[in-house]
Amino acid sequence: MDIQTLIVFLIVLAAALFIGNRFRRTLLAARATTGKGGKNCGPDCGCSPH
Amino acid sequence: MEEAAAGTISAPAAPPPAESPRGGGVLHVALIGNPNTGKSTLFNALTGMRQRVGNYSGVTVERVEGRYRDGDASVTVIDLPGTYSLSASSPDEEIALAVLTGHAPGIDRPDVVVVVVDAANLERNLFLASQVLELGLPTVVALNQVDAAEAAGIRIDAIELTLELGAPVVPTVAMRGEGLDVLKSAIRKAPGLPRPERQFELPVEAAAALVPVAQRLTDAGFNPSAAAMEALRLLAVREVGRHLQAVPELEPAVTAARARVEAAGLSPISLEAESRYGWIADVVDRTVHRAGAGGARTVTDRVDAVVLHRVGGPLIFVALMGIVFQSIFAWAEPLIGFVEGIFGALGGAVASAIPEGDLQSLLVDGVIGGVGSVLVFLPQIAILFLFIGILEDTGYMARAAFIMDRFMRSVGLHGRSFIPLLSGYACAVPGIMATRTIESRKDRVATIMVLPLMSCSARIPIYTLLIGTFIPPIAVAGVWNLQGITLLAMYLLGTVTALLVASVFKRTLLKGQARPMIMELPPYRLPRLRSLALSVGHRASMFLKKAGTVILALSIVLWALATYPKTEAPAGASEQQAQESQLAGSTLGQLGHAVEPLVRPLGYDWKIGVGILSSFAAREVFVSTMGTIYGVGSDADEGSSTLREKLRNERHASSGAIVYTPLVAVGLMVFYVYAMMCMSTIAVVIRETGGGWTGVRWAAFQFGWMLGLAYLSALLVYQGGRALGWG
Repeated sequence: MDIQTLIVFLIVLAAALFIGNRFRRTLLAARATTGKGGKNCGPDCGCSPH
Repeated sequence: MEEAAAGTISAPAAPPPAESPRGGGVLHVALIGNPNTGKSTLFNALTGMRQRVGNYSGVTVERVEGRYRDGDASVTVIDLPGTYSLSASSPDEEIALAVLTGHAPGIDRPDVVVVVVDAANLERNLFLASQVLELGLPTVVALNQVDAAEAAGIRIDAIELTLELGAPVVPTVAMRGEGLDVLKSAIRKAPGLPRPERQFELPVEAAAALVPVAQRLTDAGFNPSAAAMEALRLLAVREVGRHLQAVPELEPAVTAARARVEAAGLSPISLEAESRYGWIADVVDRTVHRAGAGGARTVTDRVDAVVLHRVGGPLIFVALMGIVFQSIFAWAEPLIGFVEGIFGALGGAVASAIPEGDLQSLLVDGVIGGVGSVLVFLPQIAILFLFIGILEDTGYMARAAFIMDRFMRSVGLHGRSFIPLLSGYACAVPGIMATRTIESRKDRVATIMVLPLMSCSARIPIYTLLIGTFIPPIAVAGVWNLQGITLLAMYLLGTVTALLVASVFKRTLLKGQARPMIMELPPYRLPRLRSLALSVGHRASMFLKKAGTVILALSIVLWALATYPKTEAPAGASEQQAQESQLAGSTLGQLGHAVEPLVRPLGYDWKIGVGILSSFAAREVFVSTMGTIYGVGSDADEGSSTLREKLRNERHASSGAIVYTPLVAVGLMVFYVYAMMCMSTIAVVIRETGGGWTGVRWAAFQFGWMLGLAYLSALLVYQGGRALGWG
């Protein structure tokens, strides 16, 4: 694997991890709440200054 | 102004011994008031930037706290939600009452309450103020916006009002910081003043009927004044409120009291309102002086006579929005060309600086092609929010709400639903959160269910890409432009459908009575440059942040999916054919071909199918996906051509027919008017409809019906258009 391919691989991996993490923090965390806010609310819910 | 204020803080009677503030010299102050009284401006003026935003425990109501120093003392201020009364019938009102009665989990009862009242609307504002005063807490009344009241010919005798209310009244102009020193002084001294109490008498039978209710509350620890206020309030409400649920035998006592009040020929529902407003009318008579006999017609009155006309009003509203959308295209086009040029040059520079290979392709086609194709629409978003800001600042948006209220009620929606729906034009997430002010859960859920149909700013890149590329800028009826009219049509389509669908929900799944809305119409004024700049800057920064995070990451991943696995080009294939073959054989190409049968009836090829799939995360991603796909699939020397040019030239590989006809473009826009393609909106719907599996079920139901409607409508547009010979 040459250096260019390695850089590309790392960038794509970082982007994929970012999307996965955003998905987890947004949708799965919203399901985990019971409509009562708290530490499990998602990053886009507006209930806390994430 | 300052002199008048200084004269208002003397106590009406000799103070009893004061209770000292809790918490080692820290004074806890709660700020409460009607919406639009400048309460938040006053809060900001008092606390500066030292604020903390969170949630009240157990509810999704925003909790804003701040602090300031007053000499050696530290004062913490909690900004309670804006509310018209303490009837505790909406989550906002319930939390405000719970805080003031010391029943909000994790929050001590405040040492001092500051009631912010709008000097220009004293009569309505005093309803809440009178309820707060009866709670028996040290209270200061901030008579805000006295400048606007004076400009409207209203002068209020603050000293007389102090005597009437039994609490110090401080005139303020929060926006200019006037009266703040006197207000701080009044807050400091308030715990040493006599406690305010009810200033009016109830009918004897009603007073007697409420004694057992008040007794149960005092037995549960309420002070007698607060117990009397709560007892009167409970007569008219359906539920006692969360903060009273632990009081034993309360509901039977309230039921018995209602029966006794009715037996005396009085209405338990209206007793509180009639008693308070009767007293308020006397107070206003004695304290408010209006310039000019009979109230001369102001400029605002004269403008409203036209703008709020039963027939002319809606027409003016639609014409105004038409002008806005037309201007978006007329003004933004040169700016868009400028931004496209920047990204074209950037792509060229990167391509020449990095040797040919995957890294160059990732940066040029993935990052610059993807993110750049969305960012070129920043000027249009900025122009739209500039217009919305101007309409808000001048006071016209409140008139728009008034005009729309008639339509809202005709479909069975609560009048209060309009403001959340209006917020939905910017973004569905704050719009859905704004539904918390709606008292009835059924009304609230019905509003949430249709709110994502309001065209949010995320749709602007899609609309403007497709309209700017495929709808010709021809004049219609002399003054209008077809591009602007098409954009207006998309916004109207979403709005009208939202009202129709809400009407269906309110007649079936979420059946309930429509309730009237009370709202105030502020006087017209010139927009403020600073506030406009802040509003546009905020929206632009949110758009840039999204482009720099979610859209950037998705563009990179989509580039990888469009690039790998690498496939060998057929022998003798031209460079263009080799690139097409590579794209078709990539993961993205295979995925696209798998969904192609589903989107083919809508007139779409697999590339549009992939764009739709990727935009399930966020709508703008459709545009960045197109940017990436057409970047990867283009010749190196084609790099400088814009996405719009590439879309215009796109042809079906098999037939050579043009892919994007105006009919396909309109169908695609209609699809995006209806489809709920936004992860953040789904998340907030789950939370706001109850969270857990209840929330998931509501969100899944909403996602399903909106996607179904989007598909069927796009199908109808394409197939119907073809049948009529338009395609």
